[in-house]
Amino acid sequence: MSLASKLLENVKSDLEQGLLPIQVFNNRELYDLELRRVFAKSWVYIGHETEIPAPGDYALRYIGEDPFIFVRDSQGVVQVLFNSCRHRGSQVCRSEVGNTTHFVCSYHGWTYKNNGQLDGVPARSLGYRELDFSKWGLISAPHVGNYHGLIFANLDPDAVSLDSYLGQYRWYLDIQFLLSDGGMEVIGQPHRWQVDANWKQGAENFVGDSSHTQAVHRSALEVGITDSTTAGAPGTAFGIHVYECDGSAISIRQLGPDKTAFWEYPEEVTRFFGPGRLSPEQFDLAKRALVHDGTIFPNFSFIHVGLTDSLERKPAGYLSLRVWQPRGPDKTEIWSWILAPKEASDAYKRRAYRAGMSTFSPSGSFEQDDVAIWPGIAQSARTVFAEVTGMKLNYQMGLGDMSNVALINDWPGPGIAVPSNAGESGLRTFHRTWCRHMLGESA
Amino acid sequence: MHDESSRQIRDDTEAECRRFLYAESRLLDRRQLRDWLAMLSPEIDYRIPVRQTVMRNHGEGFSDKSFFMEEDFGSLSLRVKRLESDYALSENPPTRTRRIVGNVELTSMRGDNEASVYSSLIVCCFRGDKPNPAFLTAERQDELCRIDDGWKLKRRLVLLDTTVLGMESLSIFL
Ligand code: FES
Ligand SMILES: [Fe+2]
Repeated sequence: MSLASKLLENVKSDLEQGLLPIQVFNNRELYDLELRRVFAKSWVYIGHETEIPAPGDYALRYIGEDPFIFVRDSQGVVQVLFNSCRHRGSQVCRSEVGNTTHFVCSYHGWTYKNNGQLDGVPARSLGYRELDFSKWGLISAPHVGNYHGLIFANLDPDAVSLDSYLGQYRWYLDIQFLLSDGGMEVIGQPHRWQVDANWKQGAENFVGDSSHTQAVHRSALEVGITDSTTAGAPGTAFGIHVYECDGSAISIRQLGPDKTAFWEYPEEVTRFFGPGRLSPEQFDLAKRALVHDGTIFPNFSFIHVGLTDSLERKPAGYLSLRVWQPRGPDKTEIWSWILAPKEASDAYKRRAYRAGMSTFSPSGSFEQDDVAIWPGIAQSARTVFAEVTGMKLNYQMGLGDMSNVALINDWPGPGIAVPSNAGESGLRTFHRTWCRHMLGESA
Repeated sequence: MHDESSRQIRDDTEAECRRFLYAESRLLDRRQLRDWLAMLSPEIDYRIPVRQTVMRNHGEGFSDKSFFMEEDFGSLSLRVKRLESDYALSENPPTRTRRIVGNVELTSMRGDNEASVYSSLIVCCFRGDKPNPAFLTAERQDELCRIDDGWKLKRRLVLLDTTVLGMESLSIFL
């Protein structure tokens, strides 16, 4: 029996004890299974509709390692098309972004409309008289869904709808995306960079790894980029973890009931915020929020926070979205976008961009130090010694009797809430969801 | 006669700018970041735009909205301050860098005290025990100005050749 199947056989009971075999962070066989059982069967984030506002706008994106064209067709409909010509497979789109009515394959000249329909082949009357154009369009992702501007695609023809996939977790997403009437808008283009670590590393970090902050990000705290309320030691003072929310989790840092934080958005921005599309309880969480971060399985994460690039300027709120794109068992390409409320002034959007770039990006004061650590985990994960000793990682923080903090009984939102972020419940939720996919149990 | 002297000024200025860029590289390679800050004008505008692969009729693919760094003196100072911390894990242990600045050309002058300079940059970045470096290469468009007899960097645009950074962080200066 292979290491991977042995591991999958036990991983469920391991997780119940808060354990995870280290090989999940670097094993070729598991990775190949993930591409098929996770990425080809989940709702994977493609991009935000504000990235392709006009008909014909497109950008190249990936599902697992597979290239797709994210395009708004001439009718205004968002399409996710496999970037591979139906004739002989070459890539019909060789530019990362642009605007076009047609994709013309460079090899022999098959021409597709921007909705994927085949529109022309060379010398048709001489050599392709019987070709049925309706059968030879670019292949679309079987399902494309839009949740408040977030576009996801699912390669599984039998997939559940995006709404039911997100499930009750939408309650927390709404807090990030429905604060103002206009919603959130992507500023500019994504950062892309490569890290020698497994894609799950970032996904689990963002889902609620609150205890790394004070250690890994100590330098940012030391120089005053933020304070211990926003990024200090885990505990019961400001932190809340919500887990087992239809397979997802969120980490919250917030002020007391009567305080206003709104992730440090200034008044010129918060004046556009209102409970219009939110419940009073959701709006109250937004009002008190210092940090919200979470992951939607498999590889989409967000952090909503207010930070600064310079001690001469106040922190500014922004929303960072990211994709942990798999590039191999020990390689990830990170994509990150910075967003601000649509109604904010251009000047504020510039401010938010700089705050975001200087903290969560390849040059970010926070992100630099996370990513410095992760490659070491991928290296440990492929060792013979870890294999022969059956090394398992510890995800027991806050599990069962490890903590004496009682759950919040009257928590207004979905999921299980605990009034402490000294725990790893969100990471356990993430890996349980992974486990269900890998064992083929996902509904 | 007039031509002769203005050419002399140009040549002298170009040589001074080259020496400035060489000295800057030495400081950065030796991680003397405080001394590097002292080479910057307080009005420094420092940018490394994000780049995308586009067809030729769409230009060079550089963003005017998104940057790997978009800095002024205050933000660069904060970066340096953080990097000085022993807990700046991305640079402790540090990236060992070797910068090669080449093809330095004075492209224009405004008066005797402002110079626009083109250069090519190769940075070899060694991290951990990887025997092979990650490379960053770029065109740089700099504006230097003479303040109190010395040159300072007032504006820098770093035009990367890559669209996807091939390293886990950009925790060095280009
Ligand atoms: S491969 Fe596309 S036209 Fe032949
Ligand atoms: Fe972190």
